[in-house]
Amino acid sequence: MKLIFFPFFRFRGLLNRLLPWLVPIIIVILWQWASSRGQISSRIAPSPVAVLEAAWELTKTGELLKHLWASFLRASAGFTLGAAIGFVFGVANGMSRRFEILFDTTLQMARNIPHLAMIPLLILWFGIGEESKLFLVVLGVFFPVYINTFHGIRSVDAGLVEMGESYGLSKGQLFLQVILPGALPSILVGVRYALGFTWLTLIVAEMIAAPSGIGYMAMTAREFMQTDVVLLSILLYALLGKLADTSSRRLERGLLAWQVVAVK
Amino acid sequence: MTAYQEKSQGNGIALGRTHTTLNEVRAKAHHTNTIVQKSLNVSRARFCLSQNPKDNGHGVGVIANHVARHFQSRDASVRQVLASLDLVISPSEFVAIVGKSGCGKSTLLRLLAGLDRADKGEIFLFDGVLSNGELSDANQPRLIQNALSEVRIMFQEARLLPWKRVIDNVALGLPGPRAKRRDAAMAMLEEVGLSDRAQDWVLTLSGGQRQRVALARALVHRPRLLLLDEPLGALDALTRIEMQRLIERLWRQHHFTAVLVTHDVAEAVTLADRVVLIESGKISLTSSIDLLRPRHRAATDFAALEGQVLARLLNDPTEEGKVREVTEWHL
Repeated sequence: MKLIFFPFFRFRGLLNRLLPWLVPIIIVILWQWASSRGQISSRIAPSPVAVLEAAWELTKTGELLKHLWASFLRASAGFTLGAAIGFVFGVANGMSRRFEILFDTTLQMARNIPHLAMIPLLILWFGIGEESKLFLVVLGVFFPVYINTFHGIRSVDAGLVEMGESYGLSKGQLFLQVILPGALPSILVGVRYALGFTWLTLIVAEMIAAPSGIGYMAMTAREFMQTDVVLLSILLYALLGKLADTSSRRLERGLLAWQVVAVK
Repeated sequence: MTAYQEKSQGNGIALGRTHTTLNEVRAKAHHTNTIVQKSLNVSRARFCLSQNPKDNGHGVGVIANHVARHFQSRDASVRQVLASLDLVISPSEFVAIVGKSGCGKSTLLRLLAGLDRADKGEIFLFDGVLSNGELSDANQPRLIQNALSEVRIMFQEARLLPWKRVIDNVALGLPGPRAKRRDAAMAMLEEVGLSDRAQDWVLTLSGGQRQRVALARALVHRPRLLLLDEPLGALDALTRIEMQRLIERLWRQHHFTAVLVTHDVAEAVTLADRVVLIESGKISLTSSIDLLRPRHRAATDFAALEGQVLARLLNDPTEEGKVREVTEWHL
């Protein structure tokens, strides 16, 4: 019995892994089928094969890698800086009422400005240099990290904090062993949101004001009516976004191993 | 008489501040609570009679002197939870505090743990035996808030850190290098019978196991005063009895002073040398439990004591006569 069922179970595990990709693959197949039958004009949407060809061409010239690298650098620099500032403010305001009173109103006001509305001003200030993109990404990442860190710290079980204090933990130990781990699930939710915001911000910023990057690549392609390259850029964003999400999930699973046990 | 029986004889000593004599305390007590006064009298007599006070050097004595605590609600009305409470606990004594919910027993325990500060009065810890009912320099009296490293509390909920493994929860707050801390934690886990779960996550443990880990975490600090705030309240009946036996065994081994807050009179009578009843912020009855350990609930004297304390707690008029008799006899 076991011998018969063993491959079946393995197949099921594989199936579960592949299943999420079923819908995207079907869409691509349908798209290819419609294009090759001439249902969709190549002006509007070139076939997937054409997009792959464009990707190959750009890879050969090294242009794709250059733009990818430029976007990646902006994303990681902006995310790191924004998340760090958001974390620091979240911790400070979460730990101290005084800090909260001092900063929270200002931050809440700033939060309600759509950060992409800053683009015209940023172009006036920085031109199309790196500063404007960095600034925008930092701004986009800051708020989700700040709010979730703040909320996470405030919602740490007061009983655990009291226990830590009465068991002789120093302030630093209390923060590192009780408050921070308690706030971590919430902080990581913020990080996931922030990763999404990173890409969103970057696309818009690169399309409007940049000398390089995937967004820039898409905008120049538009000028030369290269629909395949435009589509390639959009697909790249989708893949990169998925990659970022997967890695943050991996991070969560590693850091919150104690929760995974509880779900079982 | 075994050493153990002797322990349960109890020798409560009452007095006030370092410079306050017992007479002064007694005079004050007369205005506040005549029953307290009685207990002070007899306690002193006990103390004077006791030729061989049990002092093994580890347990610490506690003096609560006119302790008051009130809470102010939002509409500015003040609720007096503890009103000038006096209590003396001898080193290594096991005291159970019972009372209806809201009577202030948990408030008192939080004061003893240094989690809250009293609005009036003060709480001291002292070493050794009092001479002539007075604190002397030999007793090294110190305010509780300056001696919190000698005190550990076990809460109603286990309050374990779910992101730490069992062993690291037990080692929490211990000084010294990591390996040494883990060794101490492991030894303590063995004592509560959970060494095989040392590497597990807390969330995989049952309620009873979590409280055993919490007990290990408290005892690994070698506290001289262990406070127990209804730690068994949420456990099922069987686990509860197991835990009571464990706590009694560890108390006998480690000689700490124990203060247990509970609403379960049977639990109080099972474990305590002395049961203290708090009513409306004051001690209204203290009753020595002079039963041999380990105690059996089925024994007639056990049931009688339990019934008497319970009747007093419930203000049961049918038991009134008996209660008065007991009060006279024990105080």
